[in-house]
Amino acid sequence: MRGRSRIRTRGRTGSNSLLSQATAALGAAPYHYWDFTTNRALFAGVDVGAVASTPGWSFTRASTGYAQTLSGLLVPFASGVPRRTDKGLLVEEARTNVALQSQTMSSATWAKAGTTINANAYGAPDATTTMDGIQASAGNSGHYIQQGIVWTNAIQTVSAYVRYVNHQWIAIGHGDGTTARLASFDLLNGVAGAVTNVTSTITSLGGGVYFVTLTGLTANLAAAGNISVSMNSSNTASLQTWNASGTEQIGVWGIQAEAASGTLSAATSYIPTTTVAVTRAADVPNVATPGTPYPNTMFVQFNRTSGVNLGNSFAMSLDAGANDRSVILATTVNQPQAIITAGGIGQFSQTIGAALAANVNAKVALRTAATSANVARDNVLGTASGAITAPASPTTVRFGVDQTNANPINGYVLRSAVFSTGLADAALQRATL
Amino acid sequence: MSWNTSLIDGPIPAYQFLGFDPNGLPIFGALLPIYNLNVAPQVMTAELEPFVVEPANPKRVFAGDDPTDRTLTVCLSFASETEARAKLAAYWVAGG
Repeated sequence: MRGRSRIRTRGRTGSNSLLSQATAALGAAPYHYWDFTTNRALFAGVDVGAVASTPGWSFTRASTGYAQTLSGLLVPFASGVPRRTDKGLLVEEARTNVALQSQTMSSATWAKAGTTINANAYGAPDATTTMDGIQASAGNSGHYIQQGIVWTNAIQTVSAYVRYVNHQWIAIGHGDGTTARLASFDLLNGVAGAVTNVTSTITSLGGGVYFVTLTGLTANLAAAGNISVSMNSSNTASLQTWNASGTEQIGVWGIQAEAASGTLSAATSYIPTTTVAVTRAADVPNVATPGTPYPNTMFVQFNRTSGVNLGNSFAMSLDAGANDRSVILATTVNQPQAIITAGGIGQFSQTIGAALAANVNAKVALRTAATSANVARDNVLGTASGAITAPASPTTVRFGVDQTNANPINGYVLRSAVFSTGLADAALQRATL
Repeated sequence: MSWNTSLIDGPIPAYQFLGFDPNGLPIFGALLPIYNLNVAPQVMTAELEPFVVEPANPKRVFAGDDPTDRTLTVCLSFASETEARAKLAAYWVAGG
């Protein structure tokens, strides 16, 4: 028996121990195991307690940030603190919210047309009563709020948390001075409606609150650009003129406008703003010196918060730098893929299964062994390779980023593991059950 | 290659500042020919001190920072991208 295998007997080993739980979940005893949903970690077979107690653990993010719980609550995290909730560890690229006064529609930053603001009238997704009501003024006119934006030439996503109060239709838009881009939403039924030059999404958070997004290319640098939130009388992607009685109201909070960058052309987690644009820095979680030379097996359970992808997004990397790595990622079409590189030369590359939809979890395991590599996803086995050259022994485990700490998954990593052996095909498949 | 976005934000366009409008919002003019970066405090070294600027109206800050009393965001201004990359070479990284 190899020396490190004996270590597995240290620590708690009863049926309720973390090792027992991990073994039951994966079908084999892992050498390292991180459950980000419960904040528990096993390192070299030993229960070390919280994930951050893992020997060699490091994390950077030079800003505050928000993450969501399973119940939909937005939780704030201080600078440098991993955004871990019961959904897992949120790992995102850097983004900047250029919409000012993101949750203060009463500010002069927001011009009002045919509307008045009822400040802090409703509960917001962060459990504060900071969601403003927008009430239509009586009469035949447009009924909207608007803010001027200087866009960059990029794919832009505008998002907001909106609440049904007593009014069904809204349209949110981002124009660049030349082309209007708008999306209509039905707040009564929680359905995305008509669009003009954008794609849109709507997600229910319960209680009549929805997270809505619209994404489209803003092709012009234009000082005349803007963001608008319009109360409409029907399903139309425009700033509609209609005759309001004066009682119609919706709730709006957390308006965000962000340019696509890195791997994602969709909304990321909320970034509050007041008087200036605000940047949330990228998340970089690592564990140094894993001590798991090849052969080994890596496992990760993850999701992406968007169903679209501009570039490869990495769920897990076990590497000794860029030239020697075993990685699990989502491709440009959001399909899980496993890649092994040794000495800068590709040894194994296989996509597996269908493309990932937004917020759908996937379990992927990758065996890296000189005799054969293989991958499994969600209880489906890939095609084993013949003999490969094993990479140099890994020096770092990275969660949700690639071997250069870039190209983040833009989603949640729920659980991850490293086995000190190359699991046979049946066991590899079982780990992803 | 790009900036390490866990610690560096930019380049940040800077415009000529022309005062405030009746709503108290800043009015900007032409784009200035300088290369601005926001960096986290842990990036700072003595060599970078000459490049620190204290804009009265910063265009953006790191999340969680107070625009009027910055603690998470250090604003640096370079003459060009070339100069910035020379001074912050360790943070100009490959991706993919």
